Amino acid sequence: MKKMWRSAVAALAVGLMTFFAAGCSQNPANPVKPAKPVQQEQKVSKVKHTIYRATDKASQKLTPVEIEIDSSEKNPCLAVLKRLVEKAPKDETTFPKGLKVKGVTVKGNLATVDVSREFTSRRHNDYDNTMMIYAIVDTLTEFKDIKKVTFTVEGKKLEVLGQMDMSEPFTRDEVFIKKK
Amino acid sequence: MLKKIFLISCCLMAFLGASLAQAAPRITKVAYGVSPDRQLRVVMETTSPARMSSEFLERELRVTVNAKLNPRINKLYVPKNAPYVNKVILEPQGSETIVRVLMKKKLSSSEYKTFNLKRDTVNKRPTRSVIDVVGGPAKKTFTPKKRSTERKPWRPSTAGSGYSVVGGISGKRITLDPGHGGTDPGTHGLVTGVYEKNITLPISMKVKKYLEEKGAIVYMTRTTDVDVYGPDATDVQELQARVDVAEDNKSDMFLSLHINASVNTSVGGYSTYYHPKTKYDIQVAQCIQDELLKTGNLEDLGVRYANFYVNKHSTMPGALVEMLFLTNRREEKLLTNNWFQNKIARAIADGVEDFYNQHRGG
Ligand SMILES: [Zn+2]
Repeated sequence: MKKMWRSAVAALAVGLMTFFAAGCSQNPANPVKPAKPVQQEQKVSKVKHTIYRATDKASQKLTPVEIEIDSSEKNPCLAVLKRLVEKAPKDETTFPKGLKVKGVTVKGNLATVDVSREFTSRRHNDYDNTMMIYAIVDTLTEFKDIKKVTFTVEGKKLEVLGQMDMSEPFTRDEVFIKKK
Repeated sequence: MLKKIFLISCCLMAFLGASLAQAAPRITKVAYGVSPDRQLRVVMETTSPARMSSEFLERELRVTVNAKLNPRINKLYVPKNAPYVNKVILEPQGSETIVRVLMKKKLSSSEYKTFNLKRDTVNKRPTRSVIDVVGGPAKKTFTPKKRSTERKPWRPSTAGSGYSVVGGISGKRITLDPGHGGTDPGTHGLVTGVYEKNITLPISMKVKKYLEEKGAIVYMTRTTDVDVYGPDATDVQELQARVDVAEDNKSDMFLSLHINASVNTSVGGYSTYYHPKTKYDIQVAQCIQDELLKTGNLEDLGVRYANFYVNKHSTMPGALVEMLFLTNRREEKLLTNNWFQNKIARAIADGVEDFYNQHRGG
């Protein structure tokens, strides 16, 4: 009986954490300091997220892909973007080689994504630039509190990338997503 | 006996040497440039394809080109806008030439590249050997030092912006912007090496001709291979300078013409981009895209919303046309073909005419 209670509480905790994760709030001051036996029971729970990959070469559009990240991730936005960008399949050309996501901060409904300098390495490839940007923007706006996304390169504001004006935030654009 | 062998080998060597010299490429011209993102580029024009091998020492990149240097070519170059580079020295060494790029900082292997460009029959360029070296911090791409003073903040369309869409194409003032130019070559073809700037210009000139035949008044942001603002501009200044041409001429429409590119060489097709600053932008884009799709069996990437600078910061209706991909083999062939360039140009002009026909009555 006692055991059942404990697992119910654990399940509730996981549920709550999932809720927080889906909201993409950063919680550095999370006071959860689980004692060892509790940790054993909680295991590592996972949260589902949708990311957008250009896996479908024929349609030249982004396809939704389901991934799972640890519910204990302090910054789920960063974890999801790292999966999208740094763990892309080898034959996917959405992101330049070596591109790293260095950080994601959220203020209100605006997410600021800090990326490494490879971000600007294909500045004349207008097609690649738009796919890269909208793969990130459409993935991040899956988090329900994020409506706008802006980019910095190594911490610095970006004015222009190729033909694109980068001075104002991007909003979700589903024209790049494959219709089901 | 020994003497005889010596003599024979001498003859053999002389013979071999002569035949090698005949086939060996020669460097006929060397040009230097520093791109806005501070890449120093050395372009060597050769009489036939040359091989290059490179090594880098602590502060020096040494590229050996198996082509003989024309003795009249200047052997020293000191770049102005490349703070990382001290100088470039060309050292003739028999039938080879050693290009020594002396750096002020340590080089890493990712900071330079060498490649050959094939003969370009469209633009009448010979075979070329190219060296790209990092010339300075790539600052300009993301931190322009000062905002262009003439930069206009973006605002949605205001009534009485001055443009007109009614009454047909005759007398309409249209500004055409051939993408890139001067120190900014844009993308390049993977087969011929042709630069985007050298395709957008001839196509734009053809569009100009067709639009004028239909009665429009056409302005160009450039009619030769130049930077519109200047060779030392920031990206924002350069793009704003193109918008300014359209604004200064009180244009009724502004079209920017580009060629697309992707790392994925199987991607191809037409796409036309708009920014909905007026209610007409999407219609202009749609009319042009519809006509472009009639030029052949080519992919339709659609009419798309985009944050392209020139569309967003101009006040009159317009679009940015991505006329196929230079990184797609088949499309590169079409783009370098004069007959097909005419076809694309005519489609764009027809699209513009369609747009004005739809608004004949207001
Ligand atoms: Zn371009």
